[in-house]
Amino acid sequence: MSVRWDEMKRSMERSFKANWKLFKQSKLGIVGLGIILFFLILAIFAPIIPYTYSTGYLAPAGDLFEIDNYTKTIPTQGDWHSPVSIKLPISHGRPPIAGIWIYSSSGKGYLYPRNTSVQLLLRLKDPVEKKIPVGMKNMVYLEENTKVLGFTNNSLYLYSMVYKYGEYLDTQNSFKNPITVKYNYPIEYYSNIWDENTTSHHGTIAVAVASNRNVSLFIWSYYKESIGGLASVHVHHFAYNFTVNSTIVANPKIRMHVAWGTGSDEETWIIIPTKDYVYRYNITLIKDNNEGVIAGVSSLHLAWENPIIQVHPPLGKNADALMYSSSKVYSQINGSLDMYGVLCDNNYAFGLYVKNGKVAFNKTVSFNSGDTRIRTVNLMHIQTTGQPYFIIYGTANGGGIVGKIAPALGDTSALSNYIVLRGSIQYVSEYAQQTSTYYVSTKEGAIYQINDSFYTKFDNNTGALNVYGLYKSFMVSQGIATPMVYLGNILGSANNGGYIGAVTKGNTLYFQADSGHRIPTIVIPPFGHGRYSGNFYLFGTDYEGHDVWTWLVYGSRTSLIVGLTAAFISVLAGTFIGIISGFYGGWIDIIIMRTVDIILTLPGLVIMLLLAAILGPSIWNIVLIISVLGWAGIARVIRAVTLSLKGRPFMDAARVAGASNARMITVHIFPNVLPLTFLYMTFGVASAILSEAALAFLGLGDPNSVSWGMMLQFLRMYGQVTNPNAWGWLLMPGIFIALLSLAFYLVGRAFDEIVNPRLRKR
Amino acid sequence: MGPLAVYTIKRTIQIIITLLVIMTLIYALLEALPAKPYQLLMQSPGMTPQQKETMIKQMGYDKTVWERYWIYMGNMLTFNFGRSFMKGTPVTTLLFGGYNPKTHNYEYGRLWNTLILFGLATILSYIVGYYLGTIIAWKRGSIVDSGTVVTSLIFYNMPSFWLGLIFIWIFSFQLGWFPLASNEWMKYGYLSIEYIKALALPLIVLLLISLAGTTLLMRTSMLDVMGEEYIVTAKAKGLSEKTVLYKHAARNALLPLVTSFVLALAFTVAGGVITEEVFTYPGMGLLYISALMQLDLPVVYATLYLITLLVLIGNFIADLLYGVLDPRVRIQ
Repeated sequence: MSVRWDEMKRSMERSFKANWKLFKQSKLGIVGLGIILFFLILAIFAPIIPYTYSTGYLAPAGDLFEIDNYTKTIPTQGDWHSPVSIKLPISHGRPPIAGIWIYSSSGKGYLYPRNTSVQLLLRLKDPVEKKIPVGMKNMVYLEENTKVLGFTNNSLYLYSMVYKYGEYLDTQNSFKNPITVKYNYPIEYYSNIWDENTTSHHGTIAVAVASNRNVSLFIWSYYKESIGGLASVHVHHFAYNFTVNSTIVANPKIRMHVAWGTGSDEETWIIIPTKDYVYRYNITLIKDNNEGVIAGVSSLHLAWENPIIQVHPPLGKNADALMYSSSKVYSQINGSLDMYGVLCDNNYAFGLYVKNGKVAFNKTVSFNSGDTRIRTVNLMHIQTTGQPYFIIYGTANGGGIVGKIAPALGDTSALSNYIVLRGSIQYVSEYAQQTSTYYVSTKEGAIYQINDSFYTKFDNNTGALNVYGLYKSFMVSQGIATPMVYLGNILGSANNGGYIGAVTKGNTLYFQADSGHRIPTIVIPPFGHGRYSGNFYLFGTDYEGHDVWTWLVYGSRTSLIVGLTAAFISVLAGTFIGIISGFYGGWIDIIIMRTVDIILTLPGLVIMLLLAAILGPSIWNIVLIISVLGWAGIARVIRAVTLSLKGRPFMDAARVAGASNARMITVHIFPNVLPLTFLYMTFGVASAILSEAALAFLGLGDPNSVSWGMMLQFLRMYGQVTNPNAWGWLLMPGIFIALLSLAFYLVGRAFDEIVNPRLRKR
Repeated sequence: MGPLAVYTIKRTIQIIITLLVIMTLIYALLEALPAKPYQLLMQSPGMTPQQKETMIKQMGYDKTVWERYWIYMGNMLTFNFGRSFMKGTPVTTLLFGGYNPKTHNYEYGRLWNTLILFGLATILSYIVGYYLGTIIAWKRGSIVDSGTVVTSLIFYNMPSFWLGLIFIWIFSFQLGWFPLASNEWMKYGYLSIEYIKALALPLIVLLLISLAGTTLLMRTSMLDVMGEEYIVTAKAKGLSEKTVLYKHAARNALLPLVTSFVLALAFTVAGGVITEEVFTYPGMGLLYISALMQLDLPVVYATLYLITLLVLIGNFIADLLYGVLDPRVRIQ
């Protein structure tokens, strides 16, 4: 045995040397080999090539625009919630933000007072640690009444904030002795919080919590009087419990207006979305006019009778509801009541508009946008805006979608204004009025700033989807652990001063100026070639700030893997099937050859698209599809060669010598077709690379990988073909596809001349 | 019966069987799609259960897989393609053109649109490829030869969609010579300057890509022929270079080009998915890909059926032609 191996080894070495000599004569073949080597090096050493970023790399904020961002370390580790900004009650030329509060579910909180000696920026002093109950969540600062409200699983806590003149925030005496209300059921839904300070004398806070069929209303009110320098303060709070007839499925909404003095024109209601109906209860309050506080609830009156607002189809478990009163409510308290709202469930939003206490319309919003990227929309949340529309957001086809609906304007028939963003959306911040923007944070840590007039327009001419209103996008370098929230205006000036903030994964507080379009030199991706605040982009970036060179380098992996494996599988299968067909003949041959005919009749790309749609997008499915369609041509050629070999004298000799079929195939036929097999393999790689690129370009590539075809797909999808900054993004992927495919083709041609000596002498 | 007649009958039976097998295969594949077309339409939450039921019935999904299979086979073989699920227009109107009462427009048949573009591209690429291939084979070893070969090889391995994007960028956007999308002409019809403008860019891209193949094919074939002894004889007779080249060499070298031409013509119907997508040219390919994405099955079935049919017939004609042109492979 060992002798034969040595012999084989020697003969292989000899043939390799001889063939290499022949191969060397083809200049183009050498060029091809060189190019393949270049891409192999790129693919293998992708992560350690000088100047490549990681594949998920996005151009950082600093590259996009000049910003003021600021981080502050949190003294201890914890599962922090988003920061809460504590604002001063009334600002008389003082900076409105007094401090930042962060808290964790494990019972710890830090109050960071603002360093007011820094005038124009947000800077914080060292924090003061506070103890809060374990499991605290949903903490909100109530600006009108300078209190902080928070919830645990079954209790409510109302903390008072104390301000000192000159020092602004009294960190020692704030967060002391909260008002605590314990409910006898675990809280599942929370209403909005009504925080009102109607006159300088009266203040009200109202909130409702709910679970199953239980609703609990919590009201806190106070009255402050000062006669001749003597101040008398009355405070009263109470909880009022009631039940509704159906299971509650979404957050209730509260509105309150208490008219002190006249006693007639007041209106308080709560809207409760249940599984089947949306209820509205009018609430009659008992006022203690002597004390100046709300003493209790006298009656509940069901204002919307069944089945005025019947929800169809029934709301699911994750529904969220939002009712919004137009400003008319405030001026026409006794007259007409105009109100509009949105209920939203997993797959749809349900808009309604109430006029004079009657439902003017209730419609379901559908999502037929004509945008092929949006196949399914899962709504997660609605956000009130102060504008006559609602912001909804969710996931669309793996990406995130932020949309606007305006029931008041009758716009519930279609989601017309929307924007599709990369990543899964975690939160849309409240409206930043100064810059007219929203901040969208994703779970991946990307932040998008979008203009409030965002929309997406389908261009009939180019087929491109043009997104309008995306100011900028950036990543926080360490990644964020909590949703990015809008903290409000810090400087109190009209032009600037807003900040957004979050807790990073590196356990720091991260703040960033809400600069918006104020800075005139924002660079919006795609970047052209060049260096941007320290980071270099050889071929620029794509629309989202991915470095094109990095993607090119990693894309070579996809192309090589798909090209080599697909060609290997189809050539192996083709050779094997071809030999079997030619060697055995008869029925086997007929069946195989008819199958080959059928596959060769099929129009390649058309069927590939169909198969890709069935199998779903993944690299290995693409390999499978290319192989399934690729083996037939090879099998036909190998069969012909096998047939001619069968007629040769050495085959007869072998048969006479008593060789088995298996031996004849492996020892006599296979080595003779091997050069041909290798030849087809090189051509196969070239065509597989092109097929993979075409599939990816048509949107059927593996979304989890980076490929050159997909780069071009994104380029076209986001309408950037004509963007002069995108020249690298447009040119390079195509050049790389052509080069790699050409390289394999050239090697194939050079090899062809060795296998078919007839071609050589010309 | 002569041998040709027997051969024709044999091949016809073979074609029919192949057609039936492919149709079945297509049916099975589309049945294997993870989503059903009515599920896509039923996502609209405003639909009543009754409407949903009617829709399922209209689409034929109240029947079993087998019942639907037989109906499908019958419909295809009788060219009864039904109506598009998404557009509501008859598939025949989409494919072959006709008046669309819904939009009050004359629809230009997608099949004809594709045939004009790809037919023209194929014919041109073979004519140019023939001359180019002949010339560079004659001047083999020269700079012209190697230059053309290398250029051809580059174009041969170039992704056509990318070349399309580059052309749109340069000629439509920067220079503004051509429209950005090739579907505006529909208002004016075939006999308009708008149509010529819309046709130009996709035609040039297709020509460049396919010209590489035909030129190289012709060159190889010419080199084969030029090694034959009768060429040497012709030269020795003192015939002019032109006569030898075009009368003796090129004519004989034409054979593989002709058969590949017939096949290429047959495949034109199918070839255009990606080029049509890039240029938004309203042909079969664009129709197919949008129908596939929307699960508009009647349209998908009809396009695939037409493509298969044309390819099979084209194959057959190519075989017959080969026999007619080359006496060496006359059918026994």
